[in-house]
Amino acid sequence: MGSDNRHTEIGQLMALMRMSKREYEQYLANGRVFRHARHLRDNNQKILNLITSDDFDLGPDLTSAIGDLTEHLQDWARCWDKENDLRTPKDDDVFVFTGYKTYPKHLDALLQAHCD
Amino acid sequence: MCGIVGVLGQHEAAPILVEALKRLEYRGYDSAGIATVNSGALGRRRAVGKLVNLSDLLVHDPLPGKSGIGHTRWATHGAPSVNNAHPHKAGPVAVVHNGIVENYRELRAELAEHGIGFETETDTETVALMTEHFLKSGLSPIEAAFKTIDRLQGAFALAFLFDGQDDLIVAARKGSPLAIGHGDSEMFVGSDAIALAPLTNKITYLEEGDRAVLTRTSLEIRNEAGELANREMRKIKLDHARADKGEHKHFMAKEIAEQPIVVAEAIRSYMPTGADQVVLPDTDLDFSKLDRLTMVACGTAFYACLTAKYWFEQLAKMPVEVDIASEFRYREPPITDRTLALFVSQSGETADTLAALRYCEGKADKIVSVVNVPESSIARESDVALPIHAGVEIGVASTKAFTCQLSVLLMLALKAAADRGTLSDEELADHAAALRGLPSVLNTALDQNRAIRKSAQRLSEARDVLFLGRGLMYPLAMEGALKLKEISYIHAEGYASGELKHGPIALIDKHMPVVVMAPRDAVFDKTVSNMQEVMARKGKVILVSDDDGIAEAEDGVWSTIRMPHIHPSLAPILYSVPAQLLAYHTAVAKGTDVDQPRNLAKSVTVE
Repeated sequence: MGSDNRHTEIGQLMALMRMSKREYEQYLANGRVFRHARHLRDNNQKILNLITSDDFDLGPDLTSAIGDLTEHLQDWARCWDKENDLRTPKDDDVFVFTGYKTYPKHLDALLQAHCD
Repeated sequence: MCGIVGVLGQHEAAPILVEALKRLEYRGYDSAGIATVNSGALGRRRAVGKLVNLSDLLVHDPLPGKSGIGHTRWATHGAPSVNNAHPHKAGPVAVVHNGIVENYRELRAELAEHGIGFETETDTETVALMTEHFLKSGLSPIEAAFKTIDRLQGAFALAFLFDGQDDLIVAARKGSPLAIGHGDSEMFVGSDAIALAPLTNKITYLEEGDRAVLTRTSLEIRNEAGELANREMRKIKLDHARADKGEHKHFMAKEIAEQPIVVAEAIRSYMPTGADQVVLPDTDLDFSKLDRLTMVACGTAFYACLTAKYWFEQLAKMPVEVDIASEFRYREPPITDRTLALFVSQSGETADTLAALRYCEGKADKIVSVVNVPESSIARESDVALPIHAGVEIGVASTKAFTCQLSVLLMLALKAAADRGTLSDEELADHAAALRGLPSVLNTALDQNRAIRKSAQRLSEARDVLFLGRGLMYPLAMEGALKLKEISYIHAEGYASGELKHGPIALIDKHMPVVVMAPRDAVFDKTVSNMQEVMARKGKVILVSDDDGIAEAEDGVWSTIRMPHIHPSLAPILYSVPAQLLAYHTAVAKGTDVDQPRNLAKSVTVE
């Protein structure tokens, strides 16, 4: 049997990213309130946990893009946590923050190419 | 089924109890209630229907007190009514109960001889009355509760609260699970860790026959023999216990969407990076030494077993029997010492499956379970417990647990094939590679959500629906039908395509939608012939297939649902997604309660 779990991990990562995308869309569509930001924070943390786990390895051609995603998510989470600590918002409060490294959009196409 | 919570706290108990009961809603219920002790006085509030009715009652008629017990009831003995709702109270004692007291008639007769009358039809009232009876005879609350528990036969979890005792709950477990939560000068009781998740992450699970005495600062557990018992306190991961729909309308939708993630977890657990074989942890299980496999389960897990029968027979050339757990014991099947007995249950607490497992104890070579809850009774009573890693499943209609069960069972079949030498290394590698790619393919199936919703809109107007499948898709046809009837209340049946002409075809007319699960595989042509027979009688076919299958057979069908290409062995796992989404969107279109469908319970803990 082959011993490489790359494809399993790509599938897992894509599903988590799909859920984050859905949560971000809901956040934008519903007044950017904390309830949706909280859901997004939870799911993004799951992505971070996956891609920073010891045995996660999608191979050399994706290393750089995964590194960019890690930086984006760590930066985003840091800004989220800082804003949350400052304001301790309630679910219906508007929750907006900036200043984090942007999402590496090229990753989507790269992952899809590995699935096809 | 029924849910139990209890709190000895530092704050008002009623809102904590109601919130905890909300977290147990997923188990299914039709009435709810709480009792508290306030300044030594026992009071209670109960309401029929959803928890919002109990909350409304508490707004108008508050129940103060920092100690309390609560319950969601799924009716067994007596209709859903305020009178039958828990907690049951008899004089100075209130009781909540999950399970069935099988000897309650005998106990009622005994109490009647003492001139004690009854107000309800429930078995639980008997428990409260018997405890009161023992209290009147001079026993302390703890002694009275213990003496009552000694008299009970059946499966139960119980919590007792007493008048004048605002720092005491007595709890007991026999057959139904119960967890104790440790807080900071607070103590909690819950049917599972989910109920207690925001309150504490420190949990002690009671074991079979245990009874516990809780105060705010102490927990004393005795086993069935009355001896002090030392039970481990575990720190659970709150993330695993927290139940949150996120941005999804229903838990079921979230759980369907999570499938690529949790199936990947299952695959990584049994086929870790670097391993070239399926790896079962901590076991010397060797299928080459076994003659036969007996699989037992209920509901959706039963259909997972039926699917696995094909895998074990085709891949490992191993004879397999599959039984519904509630019937298994009554056949008194001979189990030899070269039989592997395998039990599948999401909760690991399914009463019939547990009873079947106990029937096999001492007969089978090994007892293996495939469960989602590693601390469950079924897991603990097995020689080998294989977790499916699906995470908490809240929707009553099982989705992600089903695909994880299938994934684990397929890996087990591959292990059997390797042990028995029935597949070559190349064939094993081929299957393993396909399995490792499954999460990505599941993502592609989920992309069809919109198209499936359109088909479901049409399906929602039907009164009856048939599902057809052949070979590996036959059990999935039955699972698809079960999913649809569970949550949309539309009558649905799953048939082997080849059986159509032996009866079901008489049902076909222009009003009958027929969902055909047919990947372009070795039996596709035969299935399409059966589909043509349906269309010739004006039946409305929804064809679920891949590009090749749809290109060949889409003429004249009502609608199509397009799936990606997949290794034939994995098709039942992939095609579960459209079956689940069809049921989900049909139920949403009909406006039914998707996550808590009427009359159903998530964890069936009574026989």
